[in-house]
Amino acid sequence: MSEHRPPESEDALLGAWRRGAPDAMEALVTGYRPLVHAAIARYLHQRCRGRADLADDLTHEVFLALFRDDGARLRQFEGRNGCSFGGWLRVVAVRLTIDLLRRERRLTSLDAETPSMNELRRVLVSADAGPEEMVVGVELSEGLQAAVATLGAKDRLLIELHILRGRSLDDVATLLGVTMNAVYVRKSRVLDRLRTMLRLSQ
Amino acid sequence: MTTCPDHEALAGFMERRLAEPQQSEIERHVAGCVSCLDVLAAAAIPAETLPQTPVTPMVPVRATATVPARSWVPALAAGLALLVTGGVGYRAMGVASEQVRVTAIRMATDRFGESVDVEQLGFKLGPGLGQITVKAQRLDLGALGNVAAAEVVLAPRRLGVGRSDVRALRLFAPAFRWTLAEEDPARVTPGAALGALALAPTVEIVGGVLRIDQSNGPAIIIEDLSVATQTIGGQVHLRATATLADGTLSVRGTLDAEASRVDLTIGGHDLPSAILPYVRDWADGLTALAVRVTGGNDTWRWAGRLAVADARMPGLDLAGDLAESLRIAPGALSAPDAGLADLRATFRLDERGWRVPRGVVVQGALETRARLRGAPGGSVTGEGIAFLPSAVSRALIARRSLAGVHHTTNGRLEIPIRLHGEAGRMTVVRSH
Repeated sequence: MSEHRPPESEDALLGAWRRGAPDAMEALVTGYRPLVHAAIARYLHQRCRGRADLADDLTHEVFLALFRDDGARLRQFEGRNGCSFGGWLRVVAVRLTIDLLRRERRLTSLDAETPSMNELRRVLVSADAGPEEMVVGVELSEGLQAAVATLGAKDRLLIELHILRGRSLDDVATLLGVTMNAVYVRKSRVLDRLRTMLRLSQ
Repeated sequence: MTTCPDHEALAGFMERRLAEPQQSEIERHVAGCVSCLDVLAAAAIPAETLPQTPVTPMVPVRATATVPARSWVPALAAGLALLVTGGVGYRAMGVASEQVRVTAIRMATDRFGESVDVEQLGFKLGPGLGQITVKAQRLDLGALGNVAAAEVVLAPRRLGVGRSDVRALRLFAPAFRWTLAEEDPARVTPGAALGALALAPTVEIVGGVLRIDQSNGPAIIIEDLSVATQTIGGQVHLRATATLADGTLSVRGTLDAEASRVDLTIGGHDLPSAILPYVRDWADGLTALAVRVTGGNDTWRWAGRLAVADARMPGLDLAGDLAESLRIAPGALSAPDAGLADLRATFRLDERGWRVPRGVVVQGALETRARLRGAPGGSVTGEGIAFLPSAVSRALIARRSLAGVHHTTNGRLEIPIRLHGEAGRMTVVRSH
């Protein structure tokens, strides 16, 4: 996966910030804001449809959290295992976003894809589906869940990221460290296997 | 499941920088961990997909000011004017997309009878004929609590000439507390509430606690209040969620001030404890409520659906006249010693029935008549599907025909049954 690099070397920039250089904080925000914003926006797209308007605020809050207490959280970055500062920042941003949303309960939007909201929508439109159809739907969903749970780690990552969370096959191939051809073959094989397992369970 | 990897390990895995054993170990964990999958799916972003939005530079400015004001919005606008005339704002005005931040400001408002401390104010000027966004953080409203952040979007060319200046108002106020007294109805009327919601085309309030003190009953406390409105033409489109006692309620709908019409859908999950004693007797496992209120000009109807915990059941449809129903509800919800003096429910069954855990689902028509002690009665009728607990369902499963249910509040459930063409009666006694 190609890595986003801000114009200035991240080591030099972090070093300047640690030494208390006056412009370093602003340069960090300027250089990495698009990266953080993009990660948060993608999370909101995946989990909180219709709440893309929160991305700006959350980006701001993530940076505030990083710089709070004399940058205690930012100082935790050590670059172990060769991970880049940008990669670490994306992971931290998404985890902080999840925490912030949970704490402020912004996730309970009527447009959100939460179980409670889905349940409400189901209740409001439930006259369309009879109990038999619901039973079939629930059983199919449970069967699929059980079938996915039996897959190996790579196959499961492929299904979870590509089918369930909408990442492109290209992204998944990069993440799994395989070629596009290999990921196509893997996808076809996994889907065949899931179909067979679902047929057998019925 | 193993412990989630720390930030650096997950970032290293995402960038394939780890040694093989550690890479495989995290791969196995992530494949089965919803939380890490969410992080990975959002954070694994190739550089070429990054948005090319220009970065807005922050210009730190420090200033302290005291602004007398009669309400928030003019106060914030006055703060902006102060900033501009003070020579600080000109710098921001000259450059599109530039932001200016003030670290502290204090506003005295006679609306709350005390001063409002704002720790941080930010002004952002949009490009061209765009808009001015005023952001405030940490508003201390004294006894009312705190507003964590507020945002007002203003139309710049009409600044200070009426409420249409305000394009959007957003408040994030988890610690905000607002108490209403029933004895002082003039303070907050439905009309005033509607007016507040229509203050701007977009209003969003997240967080806050609303307490309503009643003269003849316990206070109603609504927590985690969240309201959003969009005003289009004369219509206010509303969506709101709130926590009442131990249940969550949601409301969405349209308020048409010009036509005096309301169309609201109220949804509830894990019903408030105040309601449960009245419905648990005959609908064990009840979990959700959705009610739609429609009407205007003194004619109001409500229709709703009760759903039980079992996902295979679509719920029970109910409907009634709002005015008649409300004569029952307030007393039942507020007076601690109030109770149903009599509740009679008849359920005419269709042929269909489904066995489910803890009982059976039946389809038919329901008519319920209820009377409160010292209050007039009301009735509810509906067509739908109901859940009957196992004590009742055994009669059905044995293929006996259930002609009706007579339910009294002394803990006895009397069920007339017809067995092989002969009338009989089954009594179920509730154990406490």
